[in-house]
Formats: sequence, C-alpha cells, structure tokens
Amino acid sequence: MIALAGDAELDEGNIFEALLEGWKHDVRNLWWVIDYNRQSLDAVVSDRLFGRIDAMFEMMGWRVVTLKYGRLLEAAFARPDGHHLREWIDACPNSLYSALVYKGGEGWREHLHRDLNRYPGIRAILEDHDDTALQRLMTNLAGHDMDSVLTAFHAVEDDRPTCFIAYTIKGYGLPFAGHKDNHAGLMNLDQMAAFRRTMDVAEGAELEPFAGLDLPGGRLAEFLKGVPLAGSRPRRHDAAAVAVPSSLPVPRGTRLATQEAFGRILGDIAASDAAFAGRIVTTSPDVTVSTNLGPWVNRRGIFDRAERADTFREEHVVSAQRWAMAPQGQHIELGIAESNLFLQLAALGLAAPLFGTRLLPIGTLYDPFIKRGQDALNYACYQDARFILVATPSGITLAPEGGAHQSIGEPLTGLAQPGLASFEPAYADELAVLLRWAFEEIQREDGQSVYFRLSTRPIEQPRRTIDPDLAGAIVVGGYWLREPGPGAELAIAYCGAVAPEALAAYAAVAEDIPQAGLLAITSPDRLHRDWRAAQACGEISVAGRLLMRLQPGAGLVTVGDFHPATLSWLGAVAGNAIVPLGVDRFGQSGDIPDLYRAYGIDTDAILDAAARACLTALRRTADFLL
Amino acid sequence: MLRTLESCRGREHQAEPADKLACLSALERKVLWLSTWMIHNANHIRANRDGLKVGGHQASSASVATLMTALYFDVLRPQDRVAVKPHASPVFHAIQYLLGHQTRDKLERFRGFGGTQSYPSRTKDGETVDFSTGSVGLGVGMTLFASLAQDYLRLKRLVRRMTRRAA
Repeated sequence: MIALAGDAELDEGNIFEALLEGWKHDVRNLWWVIDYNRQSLDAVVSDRLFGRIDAMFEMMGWRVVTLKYGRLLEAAFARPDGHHLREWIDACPNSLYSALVYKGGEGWREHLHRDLNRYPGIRAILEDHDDTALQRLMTNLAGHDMDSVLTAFHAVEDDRPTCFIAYTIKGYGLPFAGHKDNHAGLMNLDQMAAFRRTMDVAEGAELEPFAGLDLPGGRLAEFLKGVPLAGSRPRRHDAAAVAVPSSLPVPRGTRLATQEAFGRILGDIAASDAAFAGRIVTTSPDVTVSTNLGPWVNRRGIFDRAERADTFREEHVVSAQRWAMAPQGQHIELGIAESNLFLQLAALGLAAPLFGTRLLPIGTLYDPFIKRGQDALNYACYQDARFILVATPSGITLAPEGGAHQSIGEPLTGLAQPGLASFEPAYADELAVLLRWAFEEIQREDGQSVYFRLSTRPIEQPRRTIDPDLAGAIVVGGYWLREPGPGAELAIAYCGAVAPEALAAYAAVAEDIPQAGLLAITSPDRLHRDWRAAQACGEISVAGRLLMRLQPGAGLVTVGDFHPATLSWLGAVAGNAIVPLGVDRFGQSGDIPDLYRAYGIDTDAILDAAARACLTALRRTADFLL
Repeated sequence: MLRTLESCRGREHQAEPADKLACLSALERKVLWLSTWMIHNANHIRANRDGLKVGGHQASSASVATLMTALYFDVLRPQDRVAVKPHASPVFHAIQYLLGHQTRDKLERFRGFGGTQSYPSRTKDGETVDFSTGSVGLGVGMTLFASLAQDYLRLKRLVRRMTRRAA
C-alpha cells in the first residue's frame, strides 16, 4: 500500500489517529511518500515542523527516508568549500528558498555572493554556472532527481512501514515555481506560451504522447510496453458472493431492546458453523462491550498477528468477556477514534475488489459519534465500500447519558447519505429480517452499505411470526402495525424506540376513531428514496400506497426519537394534514418518561398532535365545502 | 513474518542503466506537460458556459511529477495499491494516458461532465484508481487500514499470496 501525500496533509488529525492505530497493530507493507514542497494552500509550511514530523514517524516504528539533495547538489557539495553551500541551504528559511526559486539564477547569485563570497570554492561554483545552470543546481532537490528517487525506492528491502520525505519544489519546471500564491493559481497565457516553447510542443500536438521529447517515440513506446503496470491486466478482483442463510434466528424474550437483539443475533451466528460467519469481521472504536458486540467477540476472538492469551482468564479473574487474541480472531479492536473506524470499514468493505475475497464488515459505535467521523463515512461511501454500521445507543432514549451523547440529526444523515441505506427498527424480529437483508445488500453489484440506528430501551415485543409479505414490507421501509379501517380520518406513524408511546396513543385514539391506523416505519430513508424514484417515473410510491388506505386529507402524526424533519415530508406524499413530532433541541439527563414528555414525544404529546391533525383535516374539508 | 512485494526490491537493485534513466526523464517531462496542459485546456480553451473558474493545481501537480513518474513507470508492481494526493490528479491521469489506460477525450474533459475527475475517484475514473482521494488526509489513512485488512485476510489464508515482481 502506497500513499502519495502532500506535506500539508499532515496537518489533518486523522493521519495521527491512523499512525497510532497502525503502531498498535504493527502495520506492515506501507509506504507514505510525502511531497515536501513546503507550501500549503495559503502559505509556506513552518520550517520547524518537519524536524518534528520525522521524529514522530520514527517514534511510531517507521523507517524515515529523507530525500533532500539531488545528484547535482551532492556533486557541488563535494567540491572545495562545497560544505558551505550545503550549510547555507540547510539554514535557508523555507520562505526565502521558495522566493529564490521563483526569482531564478540571478536571485540565487545575489544571495550566495553576499553570504559566501569569501570562500574561493563557492566563487568557483558561481563562475562555473550561468543563471540557467545555477537555477538548475539550486533547485536540484532529491524529489526532482530521478536517479535519487529510484535509488531510494529500490533500496527498501523489508516490509517495515516507510515514510519517504521527498524535498520538492511546488511548481517545479513551471514559470511560477516556488511562488507562494501558486497553489490554485493557473499559469496565464503568456506563461503557458513560454512553457510550451520550453517543452517544444507544437500547436495541435498538445496531447501527442511523445511530442517535443529528445528520444524517439518508438523507443519510449517500447519502454512503456515493458512497464509492469502496462497492459490490460485488471486491477480489480471479482469475488464470489457469500451465501447468507434464508433467515436469521429471532432472539426470544417478551421485552427486548434492539441493541440487545443485535448482540444476540450476532452471538447466535458466532456459535453456528454457517460458512458466512467466517467472513463476518467486526470492528469498534473502544465501544465493543457497550454496543453489545461482546457475545460475538467472546466466541470469535480478537484479531492480532500473534496469539495472546486472555490474562484475566489465565489468572482466573471472573469476567463476562473472554478476549483472546489471535490471527484467527474476527474482531478488530480500535482505539476510540471514529475516523479510524470508518477508514477501517472502508478498507474491509473493499476487500473484494482489492484482494479478491469478500468480507462482511460490521462496525459499531454510539449513534452521536457518527458525526465525529462523518467525512470518513462519506469517503467510504463515495468509493462504494460495503459494510454494515450499527449505531447504538441513540437519541434521547439513552436518557441518563445526557445531552452530549444524545443524537438528533443522524437519521437525516441516513436520509441524505448516498451509498448508505438506513434503518431504525423497533422490534427484534424486524432487526433479524433487516440484518439478513443487509448481508446480501452489501454484496449486490448495485447494492450499498447499511446503517442501523438501534436503542438500549427494552420494549414489549409483538407476538407474531413474520411471513414473506411482512418481511418484504419491513425491508421496503414500512407497514401497518394496526390496519386502518375504511375512510380512516387519522393515522399515527412511528419509527424506532417510541413504539410503546405510539401504541398507547393509538389505543386511546381508537376509542374515538376506531378506523384509525398505526403505521410502523422501519426506514424513513428507504421510503423517501422510493417516493422520489416513483415520482420520477410517474408511479405510486410505497408510502403513497400505504397512505392511500386513509381518507384523502386525513390527519397524520409522525413520531420518532430524532429530528422531526426525518418524517415530516410524509405529509407531502398524499396531502395528509400532518403534525410531525420529534426532537429539535439539545437533550439533557433524565429518565425516559421525563425526557419524552419534555421533548414532546410521549403518549400525551402524540394524542395532542392527533387532535390537532384531525382539527386541521376538518378545517380543510370545511374550507373546501365552503 | 509476512513479506511482500516491497521486500524483494532492494536486492535486485543495481545502478540504474543510463537508457532507463533517459526514458524516465523524457516521460517525466511529458507527464509535467500533459498535466499542465490538461488544466490549461480546461480553464483557458474549453468553452466556459457558467463563468466559474474550472480550477486545477498546476503547481501542486508539478511537484510530484518526478516521484509519480518513478513510481508508475518503474517501481510499482501490479499488486501495489496506491492513494494519490488529490491535487496531483492531473499527473495521475496523464500517466494513465501514457500507459494506454485513459482516453484523450477524457483528458480534454478534465473536471468536465464525464471527464477525468478533479480528484482521483474509484467510481468515476474506474479501474486504475485504487483509492479515491479528495478529502485531505483520508486517502493517506486509508492505505494504512487497507494494509491491516490485507494482513487480516492473509493471516487467515483467505487470500492467495500476491505474485512477485513481473519478470
């Protein structure tokens, strides 16, 4: 694995988080080649920084290879008094060096003459070099010296991670080389004309592969044919799909939280000898136990290059966690850095095209910390990596944890993130259906990654068996938990852990409005996507078909432990009089009854909303009739 | 311990033959030209309908022309996987063009709809891009985790050892 990095990239914190994780896992076979042009976007990188950077890589166990001076400069240093030239360059501030690169031979001559003229050897060098040759000499950094570069790369003999710090000049060979404003600056027409003359490229021959070169095109074409990367050898592998069982076991229990159900389903898979279990790999940023991966890890172990015993177990200290480490382990334990989690998921999720073997990666974290690593999540999805993300606990439902840990907008991320289908099931049997679907979805050619937002709140489970129709509806995003009657004037739509409040409100409403319906939504994201797609081709959406069961313009209350905009769009699907409930303020510590009341998602709030929705529907009908 | 492609490079190395250096220096010059031209064409020659600056990073591309020429035309082996710094995208596209993996048409449409991408993209630029880059720092970190993923598979014997350097 090789990364070509700009020096300013090392200002990004994720690099250092990754380095630390790499050290823990004894990473091998890795080259980072740093283009050290000493200019960042706006300015010139601090001179003192790189003395720190190489020390840091060495501290992390990396080999650091510095490519500083090219062959011409090395030859000049070997001349009498040459070491004074080296010392002068070493002491030259980055900003002055860059400015002189821009000014060219004349500028170098002026400064060298002023500072080093007392040395006969330096005078001789200045006399030997005209301005062009002096510019060539003084800009002969190793990163622009082909022989030096090849020697450095080919000299590496082992798999120790290696950082090459290659001194370069930003804009090398171009008229604005070295100028601090050149980052996104474009050469103007005059500069381009001058550059074209230097490159000897005629009008109309700009894209001729060998125009203006000293060597005959035939020789270069021959050379290119012999390059190891030449030819049509595919760089991406195909990998056979891993067969997924036709159903996953539904955890038993009358009261369960979706997080608990997740842990138990995965624990059952771990205990089985199903072939696909061998391809599941889990990873978590230091929240393995608190996201309930424990049952999986206890059976499948933690990945490590070497066998490491569980010390607590050996010392007979009683613990629910058995954490032996071995190359066969199927859990990658990460430090608490979410950017690393998403990059690790991205890498595991590209195992098929990169390495020809399909993995089924599952990453777990607390829902609010998706935002901590969201750019890396977007990055993973952008390159079509395939994985399952399990975010738990979530919402204000993690009650006593308080506002800092309570997620609000993540379902909107789930709605808006391309390449990621998101779900928030309420019940264990729904999760079993969805998890099975997800294992297939992440393997489909035109599939996607899948995000589950789960909860730690135990709730009463429905007593039912899931037939194929219901399973299909759960995957598509919603179904009537209580069917509406003919001409229904009201429905309550809920999503996730607020199911008990929705059921209680429904029971109260049904006394007055027996035709009312209760809509279970497993995925606002899937329903929304389907609605948009259906509109594009003039068909009726899934959400549209569900809501068609109500009287036109009927009242609709939506409720979930998330921002109300997650479901408020449902009002536009069939023109219902909608009252969306949800959380749109920072949370606070409390128990669920207090918090649900304070944030307006408890049973009373749903009933109030139902009354308002019915009233709005009535008024609309009255306006229409008048 | 695991040893891979990188492990056997050093031993085979001798002084670079003058002919090879000459070819690589000529190609480096061409890579610099093509990447500079690609950006110039997109900004100054191609029709501009919306008045927006098309952009591209000529200076940041120029600084890695030597390094990337050396890597792509000599050092890298088919099994190596690379993340290229986002601003060097034109250099990458130029190299793929010279290797016959990129079309002239797409070079002319650099940063245009359906053309070569502003930053190398696995999904938009296709097969030759191993890792997308663009969000500064993430492509670099990605190589580290891809290396861990590779060792995860190797240590479980879930993947064949990659073949050694081409003859």
